[in-house]
Amino acid sequence: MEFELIIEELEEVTPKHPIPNNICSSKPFKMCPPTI
Amino acid sequence: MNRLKSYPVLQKEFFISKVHTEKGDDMFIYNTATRMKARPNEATFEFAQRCRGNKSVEEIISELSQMSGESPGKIQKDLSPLMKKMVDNNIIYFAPSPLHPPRPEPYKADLRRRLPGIMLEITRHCNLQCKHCYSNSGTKREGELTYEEIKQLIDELAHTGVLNIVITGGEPLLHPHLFDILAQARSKPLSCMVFTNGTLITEEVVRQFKELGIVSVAISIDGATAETHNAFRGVKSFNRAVQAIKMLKEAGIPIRANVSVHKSISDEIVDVLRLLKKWGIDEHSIHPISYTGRSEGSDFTITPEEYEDILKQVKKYEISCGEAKKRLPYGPELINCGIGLSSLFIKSNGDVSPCPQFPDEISIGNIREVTVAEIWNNSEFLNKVRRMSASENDMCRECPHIKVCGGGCMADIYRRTGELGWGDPFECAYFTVYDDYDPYRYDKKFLSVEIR
Repeated sequence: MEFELIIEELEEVTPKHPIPNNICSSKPFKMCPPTI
Repeated sequence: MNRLKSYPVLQKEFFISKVHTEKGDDMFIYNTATRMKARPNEATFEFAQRCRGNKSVEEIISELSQMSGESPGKIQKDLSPLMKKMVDNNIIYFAPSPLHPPRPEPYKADLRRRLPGIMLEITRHCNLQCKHCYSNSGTKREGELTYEEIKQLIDELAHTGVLNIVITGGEPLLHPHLFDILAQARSKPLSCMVFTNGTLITEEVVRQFKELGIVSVAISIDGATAETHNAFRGVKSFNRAVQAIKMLKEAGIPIRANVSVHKSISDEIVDVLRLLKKWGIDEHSIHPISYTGRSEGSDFTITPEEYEDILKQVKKYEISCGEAKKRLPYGPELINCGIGLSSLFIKSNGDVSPCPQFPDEISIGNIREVTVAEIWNNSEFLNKVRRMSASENDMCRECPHIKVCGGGCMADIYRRTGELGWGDPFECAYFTVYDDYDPYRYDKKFLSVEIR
């Protein structure tokens, strides 16, 4: 069996993408789409 | 300790998730406290799902051998570097004796595509009346979900393969069961973020957030001074938000500051950034107030040209701080803003929307009537927008930033024009200023890296 595991990079702090902020103290993610 | 006789166990905050999709199995090993993700292949998934503390390495090897037809010796040899990697990355540990009870079995779901995140408005009740609130928060919606319904929903989300849930409002801290809801979510493989205006945060609230392992708390900052911020949010809201930031910071809880850009902030945007730096804010976003809720038709929203001028100030400040070449993170190449691909918004009355910014008439179901999975799989609206691509737009197709922009916020365009489309002028302003931040233009590095 070939075992593989890719550890993904954690997001950088800088927003990739501007998002509307009056949508939230609420809009969940720093970008659309969210990088969950 | 003889490793063969020991019992591998996933660390407490790690969970395994598998969603069978149209394009194959989507598998994660996911840390719900940090949102760190690892992608296993099928063989690694088979090993990881047995790391529940009730089987020894020897027993697991025997099972994998029977499954694959390979010899136990070969499996052991191949497994050794994987186990080392999982230990090095703090994903598993080895217990000397069986665990009682064992870690839970992985959650598995069938969906057309994974639904990674949910934004859940637990109430629209709010103690502030912000002039620019996207959801007209203040009073509760009619027929808000009960605590029991929210608990059932969270259980359903976990079984649907959702990884992250954002608790929002209204002001979530006004919900009498906020901490029970968070505890329910944290007992499942779900990471939690909380969005709050910050005015109700106390030492006790911070203690409970910390205890529950909340990933981050987002607080809005609408000006560099109390005068500017309070003009939008109300008396004392600035000082209370600052106090909340200090308490969260002291507790080590990551904070995100959302900076809403409006006409009155344009002269003090750099001062806001200096404040965020002084407070040690972990992340921030700067974006114009959208054309939604109470800001629709208001006189304090800015134009794309004004936004571009503000971003130039921001960039100049970042350069002065030595952050000029801070690049955009890699991500999937976008065909649109992420609508129908990444998350859903569930309102406090159970109505489901593609994102918070769409008006109420774009409701794609209610969780009291259909499951979230059915909505995600079968919504005509979602399937329609999934077939749409920014490359259909002449201007976007020619733009070098299309892969990271995706054409901009489709909901905002819908709000302004009544049609679904692309070419959001605020996105164009953003990428006019940040034209050197696009990873896809400058190299071909893959979106993930393997840590060896």
